[in-house]
Amino acid sequence: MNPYDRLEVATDADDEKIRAAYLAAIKRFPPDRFPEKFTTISEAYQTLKDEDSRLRYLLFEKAPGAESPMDAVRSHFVRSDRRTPPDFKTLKGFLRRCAAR
Amino acid sequence: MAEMGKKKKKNRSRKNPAHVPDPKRKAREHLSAGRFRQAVDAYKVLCKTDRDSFLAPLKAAYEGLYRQRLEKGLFEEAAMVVDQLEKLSGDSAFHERVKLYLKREDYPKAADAAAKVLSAPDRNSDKEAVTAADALVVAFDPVPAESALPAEVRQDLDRIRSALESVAGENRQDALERIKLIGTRSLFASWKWLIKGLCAFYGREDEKAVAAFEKILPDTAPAAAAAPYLRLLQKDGWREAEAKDTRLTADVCVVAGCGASAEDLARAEYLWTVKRFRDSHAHLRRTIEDFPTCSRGLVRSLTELYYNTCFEMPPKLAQKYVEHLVRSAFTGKADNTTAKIWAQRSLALYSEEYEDFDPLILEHWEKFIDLYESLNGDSPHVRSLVYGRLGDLFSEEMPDDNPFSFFFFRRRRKEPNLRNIELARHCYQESVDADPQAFQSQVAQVAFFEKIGDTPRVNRLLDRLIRQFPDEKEVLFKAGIRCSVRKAYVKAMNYLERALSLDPMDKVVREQFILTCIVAALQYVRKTNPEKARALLPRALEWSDVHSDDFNRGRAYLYARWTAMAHLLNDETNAQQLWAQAAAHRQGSELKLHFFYWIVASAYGVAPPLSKGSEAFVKKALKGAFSADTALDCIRTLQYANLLPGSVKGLQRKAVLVERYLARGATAEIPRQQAEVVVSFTLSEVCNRPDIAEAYVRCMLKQNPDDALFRYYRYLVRSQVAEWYSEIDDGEQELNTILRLAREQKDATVTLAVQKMLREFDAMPPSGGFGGNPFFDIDDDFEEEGMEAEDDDFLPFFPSPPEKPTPKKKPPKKKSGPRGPQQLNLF
Repeated sequence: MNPYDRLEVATDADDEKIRAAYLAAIKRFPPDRFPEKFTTISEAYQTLKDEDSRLRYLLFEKAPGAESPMDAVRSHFVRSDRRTPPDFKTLKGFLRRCAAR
Repeated sequence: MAEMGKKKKKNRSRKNPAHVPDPKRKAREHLSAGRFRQAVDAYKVLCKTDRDSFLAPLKAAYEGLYRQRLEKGLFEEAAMVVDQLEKLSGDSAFHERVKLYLKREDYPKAADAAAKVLSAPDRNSDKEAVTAADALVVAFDPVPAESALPAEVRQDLDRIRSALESVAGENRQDALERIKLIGTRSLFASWKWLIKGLCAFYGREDEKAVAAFEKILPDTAPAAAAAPYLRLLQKDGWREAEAKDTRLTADVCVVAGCGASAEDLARAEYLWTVKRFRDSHAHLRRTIEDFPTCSRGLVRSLTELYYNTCFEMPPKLAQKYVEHLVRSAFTGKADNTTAKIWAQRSLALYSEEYEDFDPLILEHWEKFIDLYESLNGDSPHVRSLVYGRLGDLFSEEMPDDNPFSFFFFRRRRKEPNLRNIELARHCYQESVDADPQAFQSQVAQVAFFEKIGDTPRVNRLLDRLIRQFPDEKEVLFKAGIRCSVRKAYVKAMNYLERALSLDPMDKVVREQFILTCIVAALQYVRKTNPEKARALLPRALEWSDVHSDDFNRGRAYLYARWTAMAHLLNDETNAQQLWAQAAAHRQGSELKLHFFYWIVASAYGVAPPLSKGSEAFVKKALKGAFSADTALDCIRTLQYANLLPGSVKGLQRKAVLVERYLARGATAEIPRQQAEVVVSFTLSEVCNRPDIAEAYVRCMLKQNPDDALFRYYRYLVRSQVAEWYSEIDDGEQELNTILRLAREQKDATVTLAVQKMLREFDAMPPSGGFGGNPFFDIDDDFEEEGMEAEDDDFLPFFPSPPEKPTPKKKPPKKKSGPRGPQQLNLF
């Protein structure tokens, strides 16, 4: 799992959002109760905490971040800050296709 | 042959006079086998003889045929089948017509047929009614006023439609308000749950969404609509069967907001799932315009997946994949610099793992920088980071090439075996030149010069760093250490105190400060400057650890050191007070404190009578009955004294006392954990008494002959005692037994150690002949100065790419965090 997934932040999140996500995560997983989870969260934060760290991650990180293209779609969508529903026309088309099955 | 076959068939039927075709059985077989066309024909014939009996199966055959035509998209034929069905039953087949119209995307007619279904509820099953309700929703057309649709159905339908519009318009609250009045028994209940699920999903309440979606009736339009959402919320990867269901993957793309690329992503997923990674990448390159990308978003996630996946592949596959990435980026008509950047990055990272020729790795990264800058303009920060990384890579300490060196060479190399000193020097300089404000690069450069022992350069760089980054703890800490090494203790303490003011909780800096205080105080004592020596004690105590039994940080041991210093200054009153403080602050055993003080006093040069008390205490303890705790206290104190650089005066004689004591206790029963400490100490170079170790090992193995750890120690003892361990085969057999036992006992340390030794056995070529004997090639001359440099001459200038890439022997991983304290000679 890539650090963005661990902190549940979007890949375009800024320092402030990443810090907020980190604080929320360690609040959910305090070190005394979830030592391993806490360590992975802290490591993820260290990887993304500032622009310099994120640039290093972009340049040198070797982890693929997903298992397959659809997993990339899934993880990108699930962790994005804002989930936007499809517009009404697209939704209508989608529901009609579903009804025709 | 065909003729013969026919004849045989004829003969067979002739031979069996009882064989008469049974039309009823045949019709049944067609129907159950899904051969609906044949079933319809058969039952039509049968209906002519007995309509009442065969009408129902004929209708079933027609319905099957209708479904089959519908599935195949043969809508005209399906319509004709519905006509036939209506003729047969003498009634309207509205339900089938609804489905047909939905498939034909003729929504007004579907709504009309659905309205007719729902206008006569008694004649339809629940399932038919639900399908009709679904059709009314997705028609999204107003229901004509003259329709006989019940009022409650009409109301619920309006609520669902308007709620769906609210969901699409991101007005979730409104959507939830609108569906509030729809009951759970309503025909539209599944739509209500879908809308609830959608509102929760887009509001990031995933658990709530899943709970709502799971309440939807199966085989309905809302269930089909919920499926991609549920798939998105599942954390496990796509299975092959799912990847083949391109309809589901395309739906997932639609709801995830990448509907435009849905089909392409579904195809890429399928190719990926069947392990056609290169084809999958090529498909996305062809179909998604901005793939690969450096910008944020989904395509960036896909880019990371496709351009990093080679690092998780087996070597052969990875090589082919990287070659494909490079070929697809650098050849072909489309000139896509971003694709070149990503491919070049993958190639450079790949070469770090598999390439032996360092200049080639440098070349790949330099090409990457050029490409990056051609797209983004001058990027000094990226340039600095890349060169900094290369500096780190080339300055890594290499593991010893000879796996037997631990056995043959005891002498330590004078210079560290760095991967490529010249390239490391060049890269660090490039990194600093590219971005003089890059702090990490400069710190790494200092560490590199420390490694190669270029002290003047380290000092110069640190002076510059201190000016440039006066508030960086790391720089202040390094400067403190440098000054301590240069014996500029006052300056060192100032730097370390500044570092501590930035982070008072940093244990490493605290310890370094205490160590510096101790050596500085000793200097003052030797220069007979008692005031300054005394003044350093409170400063050291300030950063010490009240509850620690550590020889550096523990308060009792600090007081003990200053006691010895007071004796040296002939300040007996103060010495007595300090010793009382030491005793008062003691956290460990009394013996440990006395033994420590005795060692310190003789090392500092305190007159022996002044440490007589401690000496007597220790000697008395070592003459008494054997106790494992006493043994351990003495071992730990000796181990600490041996860790310090330089020789500690009079230590050898004290060690002999402890060895005698340990020898005396060899037959005593001591707990396993303590026996382990004793054995590892007696086997170490500090003690080097394998005879004592063997006695303890024998004792432990008597208690448990299958103790993997002690069998491993017995193996080490035998290796150490034997001048030449000739029974190599027996040794290997014993190692295999130890490995098995260690695995059974889940002893990871022994398992790893034995595995390493067994690998070395495997790597040892058969003896005989000059070249074949590994021991013949290993010559002490190679250790002589100046000889190692010639190794470079063997480096090929233009190496051919490796046929079978194998990962390079990796040097031990560097610790990323800041460093440990530099142990100074405190005696």
